[in-house]
Amino acid sequence: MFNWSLKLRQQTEYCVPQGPSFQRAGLIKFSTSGTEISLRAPRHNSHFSYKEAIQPPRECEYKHLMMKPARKHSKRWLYHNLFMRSWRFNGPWFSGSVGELSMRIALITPNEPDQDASFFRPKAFENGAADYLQYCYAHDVFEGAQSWLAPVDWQVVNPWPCPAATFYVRANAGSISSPNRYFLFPVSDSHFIEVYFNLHRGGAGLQEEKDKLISLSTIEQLSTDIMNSIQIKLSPEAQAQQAKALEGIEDAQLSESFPPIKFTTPEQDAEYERYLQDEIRTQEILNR
Amino acid sequence: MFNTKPTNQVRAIAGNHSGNLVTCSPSAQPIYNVLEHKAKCGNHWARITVAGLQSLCAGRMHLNNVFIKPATNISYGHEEFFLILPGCKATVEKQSNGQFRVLHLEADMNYGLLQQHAKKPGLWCANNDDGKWRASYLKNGHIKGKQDRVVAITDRVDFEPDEVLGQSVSYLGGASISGGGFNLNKYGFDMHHTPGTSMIGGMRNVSQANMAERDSSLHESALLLAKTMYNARDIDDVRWVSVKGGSGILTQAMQLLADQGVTLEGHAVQFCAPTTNVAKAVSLAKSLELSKDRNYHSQRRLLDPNQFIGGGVLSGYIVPYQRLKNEKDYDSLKFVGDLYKGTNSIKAVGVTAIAVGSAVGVTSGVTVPAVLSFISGLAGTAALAPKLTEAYLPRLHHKIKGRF
Repeated sequence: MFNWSLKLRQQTEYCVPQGPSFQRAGLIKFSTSGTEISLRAPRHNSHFSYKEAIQPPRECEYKHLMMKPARKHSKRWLYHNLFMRSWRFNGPWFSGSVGELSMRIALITPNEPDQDASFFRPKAFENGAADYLQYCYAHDVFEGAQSWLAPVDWQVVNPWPCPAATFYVRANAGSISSPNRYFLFPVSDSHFIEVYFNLHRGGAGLQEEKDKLISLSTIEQLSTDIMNSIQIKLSPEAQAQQAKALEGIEDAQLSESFPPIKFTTPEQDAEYERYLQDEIRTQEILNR
Repeated sequence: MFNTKPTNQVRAIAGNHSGNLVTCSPSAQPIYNVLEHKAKCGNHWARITVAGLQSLCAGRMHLNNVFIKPATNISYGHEEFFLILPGCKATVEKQSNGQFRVLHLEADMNYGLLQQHAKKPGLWCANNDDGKWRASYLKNGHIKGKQDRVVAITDRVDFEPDEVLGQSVSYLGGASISGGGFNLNKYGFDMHHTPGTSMIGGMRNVSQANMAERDSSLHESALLLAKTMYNARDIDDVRWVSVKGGSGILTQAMQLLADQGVTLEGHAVQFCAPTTNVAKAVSLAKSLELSKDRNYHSQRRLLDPNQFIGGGVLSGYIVPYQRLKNEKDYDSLKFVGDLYKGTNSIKAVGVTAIAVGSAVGVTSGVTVPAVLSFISGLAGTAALAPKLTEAYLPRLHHKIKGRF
C-alpha cells in the first residue's frame, strides 16, 4: 500500500516492492514472417529516462529487419529488438523506486548460419543457445573467475509447438549483477526469439544482501505472469521447415537438465587460483 | 607513545637513504606488511595507500593537500595527525627530531572486494550493448587507453552503479565535449563511481559545496580519481566530465594534482549541472592546463537551488572575470555575453544591463538590443528575435553565434 514513486526517504527495513498490475495488462500481438506471437504486458513505466519502449511492428519479414551485433566484441550473433518495456517497482511510503523489471523480445540469428543445421532440431537449438550464452557472458571475467553462471534452472517448456526452454542467468559469487531470465524458442531454421527479463533491485552490495532488504518475489512474479501469457503460432513455412528438420530424428526432446557452462580457460583458472592463494597469504601475514 | 626513539627491530618503511625516516609502531607493522604485499600483487588502492605512507619521508609540509587533518594535540614539538588513504586511516606522530612514526593503522583489507561490490569508490566501465547500459568494475583504475575517451565523474546518489549510470547518461549526452549520445552509445565511457546516498554539495551542504577541494568526506574518492587522472596523463584528449555533485570530487582531485605540480595538457574538462563551487573548479582546471569547450559548464540551470547555491551564486560573474584576465582568446564580447547569461539566469537583469549595454557599445559595432535579445535566447529564455534571425538571416545568425 502507498507504493508511490515519490522518494523522500531511504527504505531501511525489509519490503516487498509493488509494480504494475498484471490483471489489467493489455494484449500485444505481432507477427514475424507469418509466425504470430501474442502476450500480455502492462504499460511501459520506467524509472530510468534512457530506457525506451519499443512497440512491435504488426508484421515484419526477417530479411527486411536491420540486424545489429548483440555485443561489441564480435559480430557472431545479431539481434533486432521487436518489443521492449520496463516497469518500476516502488517501495512503501515515499521510499521511491526500489526495483525494476525490464523486458525485451528480440529476434536473434547467427551472423553466418550453418546451412545444414536447423534450430528446430533440439540438439542444434541447444548448441545454438549455448553458443549464444557463451558469446554474451563469457567475456565478463574478473580475477580469472567468470562473472556469470549460465544457464541456471534450465526448464524445458511443454507443451510448445517447437523446442523451447526457460532459464536464469545469475551473477557468480562475488559479482553484484542482477539476475536475468530467458525464454528461448526457434521461429525458423536460423532465427530464434529471445524473451529477456532483467530483475533489477536498487541498493548496495551482492544479490544475497539485497534479498534481506528488498524482496524479489513480486518482480519475479510479474516476469512469470508475462512469460505464461506468451503464445505462438508458427507460420506454414516455419512448420514446413520444422517437419523437414525433424525427418528421421527419433529423439525430438530437449535435455531435461543443462548445468551452467564453464567459460574460463585453464590459464584463467590458474589466475583465479593465484588470486585465492594471495588472499590466504594476506590472512597469514595478518594473523602472524 | 612517549618513547621518541625508534627501536632497532622496527623496520623503516621509507626515508632510509634520504629524507625523514618513517617507521611503524609494532602494532601497525603487520598491517603495513599486508598492505605492501597487496600493493605488490597489483591492487590499485593498496599501491596508493603505501605510496601515501611512504611520501611522508619528504615531510608533511609538502603534503599540503587535503588528506591531512590537523592534529588532535600539539605539544613540545610532537604532533599527531591523521592520514586518510583509500581503505586505510593512519595515525601518524611527528617527532621532535623530524622523524615520522606510524602509530596506528586502521586498514580494510577487503577494500578491493568492497570496491568491486560498489560499496567504495572505484572506476567502472560503462557499455551499451543492445540498448542496455551496463557497468563493469575496472580493478586497476586505468581508463581505457584510447584517444578521446570520455570519463564521467558521477554524483554520490546511489550505491548501484547501473542506477547511477541511468541517472547520468542524459547529462553526459548533453555535455558538448562528450560527443553526444551517439558517440557514448558507440564507444561507451568510463565512470568514476562514488557510492552513497546523499548528493555532494548543493543547497543543503553549503560548506561542502564551497570547500569541496578540502572536504574530508571526499578524500578517498578524490584520491582514487587523482591517481586515475595521473595514470591517464599520457593518453591524448581524455574528456573528464563531471555530473552534478561529481564536480566536488573532480575539484578535489584536481587540487591534489595541482599540489603535485602535474599538468594534463590536451585533456578537456566540463562540469554538467555542477552543485559545488564552479569558480574554484575553473581556476584549478586552468592551473592543470585542461582545455574546455566554449564554456566550462554545461546544462547549468540556476533555477535549481542546488546548482544556484551549491554552484556559487556569484560564479556567473567570477568565472567570466577570471577568464577575461587569464585567457587570450576570451574577448570582452564573450565576457559581456557570459555576464549577461549569468545575470539573465538569476533574474536580475536590471543590475548589469547598463554595464552590459555600455560595454557592448564600446567593444562591438552590433547594436545593443540585437545582441542582448540574442544572448538571452542562447541563455534559454524564449526569445523570438534569434529564431527569426536564424530563419531569415542564417549567415548573420551564425556569425553572431560563432562569437558566443
